[in-house]
Amino acid sequence: IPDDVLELILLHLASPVNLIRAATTCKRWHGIVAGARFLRRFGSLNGRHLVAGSYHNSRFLDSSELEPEPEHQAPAFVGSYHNGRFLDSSEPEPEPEYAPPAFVASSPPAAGGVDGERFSLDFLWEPDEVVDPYFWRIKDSRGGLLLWALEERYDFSPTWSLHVVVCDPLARRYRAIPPLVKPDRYHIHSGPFLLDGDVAPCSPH
Amino acid sequence: MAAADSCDGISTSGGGWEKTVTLVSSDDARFEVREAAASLSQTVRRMIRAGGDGGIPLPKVDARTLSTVLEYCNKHAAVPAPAPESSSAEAAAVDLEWFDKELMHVDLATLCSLIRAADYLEVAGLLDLTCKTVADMIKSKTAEEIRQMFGIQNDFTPEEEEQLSRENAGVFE
Repeated sequence: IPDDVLELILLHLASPVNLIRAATTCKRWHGIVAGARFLRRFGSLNGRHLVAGSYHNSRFLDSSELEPEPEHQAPAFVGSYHNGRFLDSSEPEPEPEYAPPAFVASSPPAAGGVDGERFSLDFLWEPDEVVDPYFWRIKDSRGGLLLWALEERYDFSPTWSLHVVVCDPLARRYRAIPPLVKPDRYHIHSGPFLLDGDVAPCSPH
Repeated sequence: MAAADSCDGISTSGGGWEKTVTLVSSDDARFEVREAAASLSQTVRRMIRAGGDGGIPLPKVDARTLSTVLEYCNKHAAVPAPAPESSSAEAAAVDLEWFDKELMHVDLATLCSLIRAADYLEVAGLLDLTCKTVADMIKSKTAEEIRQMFGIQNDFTPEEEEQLSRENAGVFE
């Protein structure tokens, strides 16, 4: 089968899980699937870009909120990242259980979903605590990277600082960005975000 | 008009006169087809426009494959375009769907020949149908099952394979 016809067949696979399996059969198939042209066509044909997951920004969640939103249940969506949160406890005890930031797959591996362990973030706090899972928040995600930030204010000091870490969960790598320090205790800003290209994450004033 | 020159003959069909063209397969089998059906192939349509005599040669398609392609074309060209919400339109759509399904009850080698032919002849509907059929066969299979199905040699080195399985953990079981 010529490459362009094979490409047409693979475009009909619809789900990224099937696509990954097909890509691992041999180098030729892998080359077709990994090509930018193919991924672009696959994304437009299946109505969305290939999205491995997204992140959720909420501290208190009850279990119903863990369900992915309907728009996220497209075939290309495999799960989402959640910030650390206190789990709803039915016990009257005042201390709810804390769940660190984690990846929640949209369907279990048995049902064709991905293994959430693969997207684990624990390398950020073990063995070194680069990120304190209680206080740091996932602020943005783009191109397979997650942006973490922590705002810091000291009670008796008029400074404000913003600590930022960018991590690649699949490669289990991270990079700390030098903190942004301002002489004002309260600082109005819209928060850090990630940009495409070679632009470093930054905090607008 | 160039199109008239390329017509090998005129036959009666369904009480009316219909133009036909003759297609010649790679193994020299001749197929007389209604022009309306043959024109579902963009390649043939261009050749009809270009004119010529003695039939249209299709050196990349053998007789067995061409007869299946023409079966598809005859069926799909025969369906008129009725009012979209009439019950006859619905029945025709169901009938066509059933026909397509039956046509795809062939082995993988035949499907691949059909894909090649549909690609070369530019029969968009058939190309889509055959690609979708093969994709459905791939869908629920592991990489090893896909290799067996297509007779693919695994040319990844053990190191590369290990890296792939690390990158794609969870997709392999």
